[in-house]
Amino acid sequence: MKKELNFEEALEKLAEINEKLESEEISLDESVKLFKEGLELSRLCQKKLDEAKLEIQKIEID
Amino acid sequence: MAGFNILTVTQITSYLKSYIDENKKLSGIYIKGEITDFKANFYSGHFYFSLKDAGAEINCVMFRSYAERIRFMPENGMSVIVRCDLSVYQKACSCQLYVYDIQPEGIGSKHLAFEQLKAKLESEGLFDAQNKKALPKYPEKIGVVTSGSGAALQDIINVLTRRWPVAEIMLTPVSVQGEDVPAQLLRAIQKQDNEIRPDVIIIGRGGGSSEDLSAFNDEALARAIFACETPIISAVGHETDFSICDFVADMRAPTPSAAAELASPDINALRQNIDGNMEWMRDFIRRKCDKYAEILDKFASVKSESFTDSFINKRQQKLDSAKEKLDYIGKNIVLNKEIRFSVALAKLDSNNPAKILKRSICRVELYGKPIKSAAEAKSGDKIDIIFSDGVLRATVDEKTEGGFDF
Repeated sequence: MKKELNFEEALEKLAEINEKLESEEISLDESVKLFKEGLELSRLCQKKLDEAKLEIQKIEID
Repeated sequence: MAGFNILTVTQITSYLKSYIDENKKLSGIYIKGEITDFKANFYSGHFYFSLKDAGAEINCVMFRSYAERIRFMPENGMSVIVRCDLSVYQKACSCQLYVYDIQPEGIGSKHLAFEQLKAKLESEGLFDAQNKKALPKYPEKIGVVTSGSGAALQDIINVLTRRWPVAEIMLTPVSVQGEDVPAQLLRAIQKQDNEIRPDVIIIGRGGGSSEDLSAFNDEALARAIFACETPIISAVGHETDFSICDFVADMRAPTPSAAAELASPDINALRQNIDGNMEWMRDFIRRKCDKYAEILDKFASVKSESFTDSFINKRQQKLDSAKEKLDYIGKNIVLNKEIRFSVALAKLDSNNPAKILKRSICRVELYGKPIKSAAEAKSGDKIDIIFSDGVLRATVDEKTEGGFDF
């Protein structure tokens, strides 16, 4: 992956991969490639969730 | 009329005015009545109207300095209580009320102001569902406009720590007491929307007196929220009260905790979804591989030798039959040609005059035309009798009728 995706982008990409996998028209090679990419994305999402810690930034209005 | 005390019009109306003005019972009084002939002068900002009841009517004036403090807009037919002084407008010698304050009868002025502002903004489309923005599913930055020390902030932090710690809270603290509150709220909203640019904004208020709530019923604040490009969740009123802010926001939450829940996905549900999806993908690939393996097995189960044998045999057979066909066709072509050639030759041969002569020994021609019967010639005709080896020119001497068999 070139640029680190944010959580929402990663989830969207995962949904896309699911859809492609299910379309059945793709070759086994292609499926395996997609599957690998899907696993990578899933792990990225899990990592983001596991490492999350709520941060609070205070910005004065004046 | 000498000897009488003659007064001018001005003197008598002045006397009347001062007589009334000095009467303490006629200043700072409360009068109840129904508003009629209401006019707000656009240029001066003064209000002019009359108050009436079943028996009487009296003119009223409310100067701008007082009129602009009224939160609601007086309307004809409204039952009100006004605080006023009774005095005289000398030019017309008109007795009228100089009004300082108007209170709607029955309901409080704040409540009326609220209803009026609500109706106004609603008619302008500020509450329309079609103008509501969708909330982000997975916000990375959540703007919070509330008191920096109140319970509302703590509630929001608690919910987000549990549900969506992925987010960062961008807090613009505002004070929640005092005259300045609406202006502070407005600046905070604008700073969030223009500079901080979070994915969603929560404007919140913990429990408090109704005075706190009124700051969220400010028209300018409502318009700022409407103009905001960031989706806003309002958690200002309580379970039953609504503020103008609640109506104009993209989403209303009954409490700040509820607002935080609306703004965030549940991390545990998400984890489960992602895990479930990974499992699904694994399953899917496994199934797909199994399917291919099955197909391979089918090929492998046919013994390779017999497979190739039968394969080759089939093709050999095809090849053989093709060859036969070719041979047959080729032969036929040659045969046909031979036959045709010999037939043609025979035909040619039979047409050869020399051969014909040979067959029939001789031919008889009468003046160059072959004749086949005696009837065709008569006595004296010159005929040619043509043999294969020469021609006899002769004259018919005699003709006898009747044929004979050869």
